[in-house]
Amino acid sequence: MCLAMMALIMSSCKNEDISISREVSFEVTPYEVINKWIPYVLNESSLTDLSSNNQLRINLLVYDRNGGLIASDTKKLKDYNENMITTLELSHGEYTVVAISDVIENGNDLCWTIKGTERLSTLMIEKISSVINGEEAIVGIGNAKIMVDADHSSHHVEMRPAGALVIVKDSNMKYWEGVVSRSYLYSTKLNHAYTFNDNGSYVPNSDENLTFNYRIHYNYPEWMQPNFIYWEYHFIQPFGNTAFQWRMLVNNDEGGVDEMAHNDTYQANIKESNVYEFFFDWPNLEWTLKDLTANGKTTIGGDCGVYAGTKKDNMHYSEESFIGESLGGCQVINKEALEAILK
Amino acid sequence: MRKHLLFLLLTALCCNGLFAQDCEDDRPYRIAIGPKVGLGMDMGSHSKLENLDFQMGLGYQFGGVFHAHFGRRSELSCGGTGLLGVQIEAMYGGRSVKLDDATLTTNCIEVPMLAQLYFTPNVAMLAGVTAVKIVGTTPSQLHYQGATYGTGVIKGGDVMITAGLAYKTSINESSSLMIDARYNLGMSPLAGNFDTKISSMMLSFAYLFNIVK
Repeated sequence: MCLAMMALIMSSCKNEDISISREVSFEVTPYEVINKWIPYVLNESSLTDLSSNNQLRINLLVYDRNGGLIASDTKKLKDYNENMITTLELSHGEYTVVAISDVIENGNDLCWTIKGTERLSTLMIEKISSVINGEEAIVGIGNAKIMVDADHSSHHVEMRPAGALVIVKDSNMKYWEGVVSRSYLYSTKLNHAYTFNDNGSYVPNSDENLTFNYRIHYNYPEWMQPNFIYWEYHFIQPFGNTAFQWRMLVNNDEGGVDEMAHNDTYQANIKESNVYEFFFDWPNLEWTLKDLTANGKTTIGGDCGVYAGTKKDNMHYSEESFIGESLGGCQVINKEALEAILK
Repeated sequence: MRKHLLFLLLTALCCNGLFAQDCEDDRPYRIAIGPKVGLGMDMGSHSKLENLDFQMGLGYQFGGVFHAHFGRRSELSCGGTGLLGVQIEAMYGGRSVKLDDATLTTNCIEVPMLAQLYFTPNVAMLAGVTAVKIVGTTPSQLHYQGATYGTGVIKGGDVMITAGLAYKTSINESSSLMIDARYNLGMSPLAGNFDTKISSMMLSFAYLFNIVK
């Protein structure tokens, strides 16, 4: 009998698990999206504050181990100074959390739309606006693997920019008023969409090709004041080997315009969180691209000629539309021709 | 005077059955069955996984008991008055523990299998195991401090270690009353991820009908 009792005790039951869920609090801090950029801008508020019609939308998405959406919440914040604090009911276990911030207008999508949220593998942030959106295009993303149990019921999701800040400076653009009707900055890659891998990290997507098809900035000389450096901010995804080209529309004798390209093209590996400065010296028709966050404000190598061969075939305008020929090296081409028009 | 009365009462309780009785036959054992009811206090152990501390709750049980008492206390004693006995019960009961205002109650079938050592003719020490099968738990969801426990699916079992004392006294030639106080030590967590074990202290009353004497 003793043996039987011992056997019974030793085989004491291994009972099955029950479902345990708890209210898990999340704090999402979007300020980190723009925090690193603040030292490089003229006014902090130009990044932190949003216009009155705009709001900062935070999507918090919680995926289980199989990548299925378990819980989500969306909050609309006044600006980057606010935090999102929310509580979600989650069962014990391991999760992948993705937080996405973007700017919306009057409660509706502005530059981006978020779709495919039901699975992490289909989650996508897709560009819906073809216009240049400046600071309004900034996307912030936070991702984390979290454990929910009795000891882990509150989590902080730190966000970061899902791209780089571009500061475009047009210096004394007024100089060419009446000659240049419009100026463009083009790149070979541009914000198109973000997808996500299994750990919630984003993957930037672009319709990549070797042509300068993507306009990231434009400006008009007639808008400018004389001897004035105009600043504008843009947001671009972190793409490697992205080339940039400066183009302009120049008034011709027939009353039309010719589209012309600067002979210098710059190529850079655009890195997340970095700040890139495009400086256009309009009177001298020179421009530079610098990484302001790199030590010593590194000038990114102008490699004019790399894309020279593709210009003729893929730029969608004729070689005749160029003003003059390359003078060799990275120089402004045919400034004299523009000055002749100016006179 | 009060001490003398108490001594006489204890002596009467302990020595009941010790003296020569008019036995109906010479079987060296006595078997009895009967109904049994009990009341008690239930305790939940600290949950390390969930960091929960339960408070005591009330428990109850009712059912039937099979009791066998072996041997003779002396040559003059009837059968079924010896040192050893066994007791097997089939009980249905409810055990409850509390978390502040919330009460977790498990309804279960219990089968205690106990050995008895009669160190006096009427008083025995009990020791053995109690097999428990949980047949239902209320509430189906237990809410406590922001957590929700799906307690409705707790339907496991346990093999508790049981020890206690029993007092048995004859009411007439064919029946007796047994009172026992026991402690059941829970050995199995309620669930794999809910490591609270339920233990209990019970005070029970059984009315036994001698079927073999």
